Amino acid sequence: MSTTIRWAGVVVLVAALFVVPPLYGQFLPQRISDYLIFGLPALAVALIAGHARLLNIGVGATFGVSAYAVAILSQHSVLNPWLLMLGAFAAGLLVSGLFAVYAVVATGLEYLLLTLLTTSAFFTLPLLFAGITGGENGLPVKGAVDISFGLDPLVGNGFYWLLCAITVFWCVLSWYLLASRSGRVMVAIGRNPVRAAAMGYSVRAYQVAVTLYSGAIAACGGWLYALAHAFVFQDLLGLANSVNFVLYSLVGGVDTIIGPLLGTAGLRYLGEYLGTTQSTQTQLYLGVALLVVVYLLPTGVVGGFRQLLRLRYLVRSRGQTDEPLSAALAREAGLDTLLGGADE
Amino acid sequence: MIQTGVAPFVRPTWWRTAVLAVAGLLAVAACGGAATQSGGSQEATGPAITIGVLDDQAPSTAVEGAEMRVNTDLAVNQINSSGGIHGHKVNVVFADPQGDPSKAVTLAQQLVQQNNADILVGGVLSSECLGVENLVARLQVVYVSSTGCAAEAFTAMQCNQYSFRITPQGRQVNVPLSQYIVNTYGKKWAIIYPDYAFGQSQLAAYKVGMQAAGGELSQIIPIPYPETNMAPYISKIQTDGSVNGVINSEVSADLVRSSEAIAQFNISPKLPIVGVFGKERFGGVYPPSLTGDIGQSPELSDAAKENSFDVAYHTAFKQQLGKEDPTIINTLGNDKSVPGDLGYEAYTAITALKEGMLNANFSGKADTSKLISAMSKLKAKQGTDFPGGDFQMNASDHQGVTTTYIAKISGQQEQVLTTLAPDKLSAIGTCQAK
Repeated sequence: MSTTIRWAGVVVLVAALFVVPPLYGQFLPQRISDYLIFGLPALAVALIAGHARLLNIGVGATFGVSAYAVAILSQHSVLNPWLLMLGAFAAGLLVSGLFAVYAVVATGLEYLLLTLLTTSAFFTLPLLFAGITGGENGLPVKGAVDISFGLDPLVGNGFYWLLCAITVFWCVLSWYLLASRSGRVMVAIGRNPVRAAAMGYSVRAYQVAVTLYSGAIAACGGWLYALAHAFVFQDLLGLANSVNFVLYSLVGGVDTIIGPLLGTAGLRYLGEYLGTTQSTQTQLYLGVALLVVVYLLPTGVVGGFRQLLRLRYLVRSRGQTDEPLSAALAREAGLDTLLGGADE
Repeated sequence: MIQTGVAPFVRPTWWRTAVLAVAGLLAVAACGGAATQSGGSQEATGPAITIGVLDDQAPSTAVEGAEMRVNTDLAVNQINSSGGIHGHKVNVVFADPQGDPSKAVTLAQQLVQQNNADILVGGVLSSECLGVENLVARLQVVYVSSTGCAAEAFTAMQCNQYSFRITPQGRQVNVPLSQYIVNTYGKKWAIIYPDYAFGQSQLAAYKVGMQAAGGELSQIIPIPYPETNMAPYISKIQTDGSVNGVINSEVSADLVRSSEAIAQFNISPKLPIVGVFGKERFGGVYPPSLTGDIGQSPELSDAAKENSFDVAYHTAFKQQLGKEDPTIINTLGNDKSVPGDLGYEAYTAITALKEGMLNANFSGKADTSKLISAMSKLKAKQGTDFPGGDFQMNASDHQGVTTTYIAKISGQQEQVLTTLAPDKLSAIGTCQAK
């Protein structure tokens, strides 16, 4: 299929994202808005953990701090939407800067624990500064629609379109960066930092860059959350929220751009559906569903779909190569590496 | 060779995954959740009034969620079996936020915008209720908190014209309770409290109460949240006579854990324990260690035999319980289940709404302003709708007050020590619900 047709397909799909929910009406634009907002930090997880292999589970802290920044600024009569956006990004990048320092000074399990403990610490901040954060009660965001460029998140489609545009922007930019030389270097560093360093790449610089970039995406999510819901609370900063973002990303496909968005939509919809269709076993069903997905689709939904496409390709191209089909299938499943085959 | 590792991420099949993702995103989101509904009999015939209920079934709020479910169903069935609201049947749409405030806000929005709920009820955690309270001012629908939602801020700081709370909370009940225990047992008290906003507001309320009564909190023990091991904190309580008693303001599972720890350290025989009350928190049966404990509640655990309204309410509760999900029945203690104050909060949230809707001639969202006006002026004597005692709504902050009992646990019995009329409970703050 030619590149032109592929691009045309993408344009049609993006157009559908912009057009279909508003045409469908009811609650659909608001529902997807929520998925897109939570999908952004999930995308940040995919970039930092899936591609760069930095096991950061503190994305929720970045998301939450940005949301709190909007609420706190609005409480202090800062209602200019651009200033609020800048404030949210600045706060988010400040937290990301901390994680970037961790990326420089620590690796592996040590890095994981540092992000975990930092996120736990951030969870307590609203209680420590209850006077300005509202403590456990949370904090309303003032300013009504003025703070969201005059777009009402509850009425009409303007805010939904803004969200779509922002999400598409981050997806395209992320895809472009990953496909670029720098993106490939970053992925290579994730796979084998020692080898990449030996080839002359500045491993730490790349890790700092990807941490700040993914932090900017998470901060954007926090900013949009505050605008959409006009209320922030302690749980936004917590470990549970961070773990949710990791789950969204894992279920959708941690090494893809669009998988985290799909994972977010799927898991959040499942939780909402179960929460409104039966009475008491929501979390049990949700847990079982997660186990099934993780067990059957270890590369996520999108990763699994990709594997299916590759298998179909292999089956179709049988006979055109000397490699036995069984060996090709094993290679696709990664069994050759497990059994001692070289992948490099 | 590094390219081998990179290649899968830039394979030309990305557009196909994009197709799958966007199509999936749209398909998944388009399938609106068919919410759990329950209604009543066939007697009400007009267009239905829909109440969206945020019934939190998270493990940490299982008892509150179960009581909310049973008592909401009970009250709604009673409304419908008596003809509904001027001929309009009442439907309930339940949604479970699972202890997640962001889900609570999303579901509240969904209930109104997708399920066409005319009124919102529920939410258990303070952050859920405060988030929804903030939302309803934008959605312009009436919201009544149910079981839980104990943060004073709900009516003391963030009040708005659309939000109502029926049962008294915080210093409204802690101040008179403090006065009673200071007058009865002495001036110096220890307090254990969960170290987050709810616990801190409880601490502030007891400080105010103690000051008003001429007493003091001479030992303050914050317990971090979350903390499952209570022993290090409970063991700090002084039993050498330097305090006259212990106030336990823990809640939910932490309340049970702290009570058990107090019993293990043999503190309860030496000092009166205040704040632990309500059989529903213990599966319908008080542990022996709670004998002698003192608490306050708008409803006693067992029906007062001389109160026919209360007897009827408890009987109806048992009958309704038999129709519920086995998990809910089990959570509440099977045949030992009682509504208690947690269930009473949920029951009276709906009966207060019923009175408000009847007075406002409410038939749907278009009558919201009439309902607000009627709810603001609501006042009821003890009866079928308020079996525990009288009720009165404060028009300025939309905080209700009810008859409140201060009682002492004695085995499985509750001995009423004093009864506080609604007008003896002062307002929490000066918030104006506009």
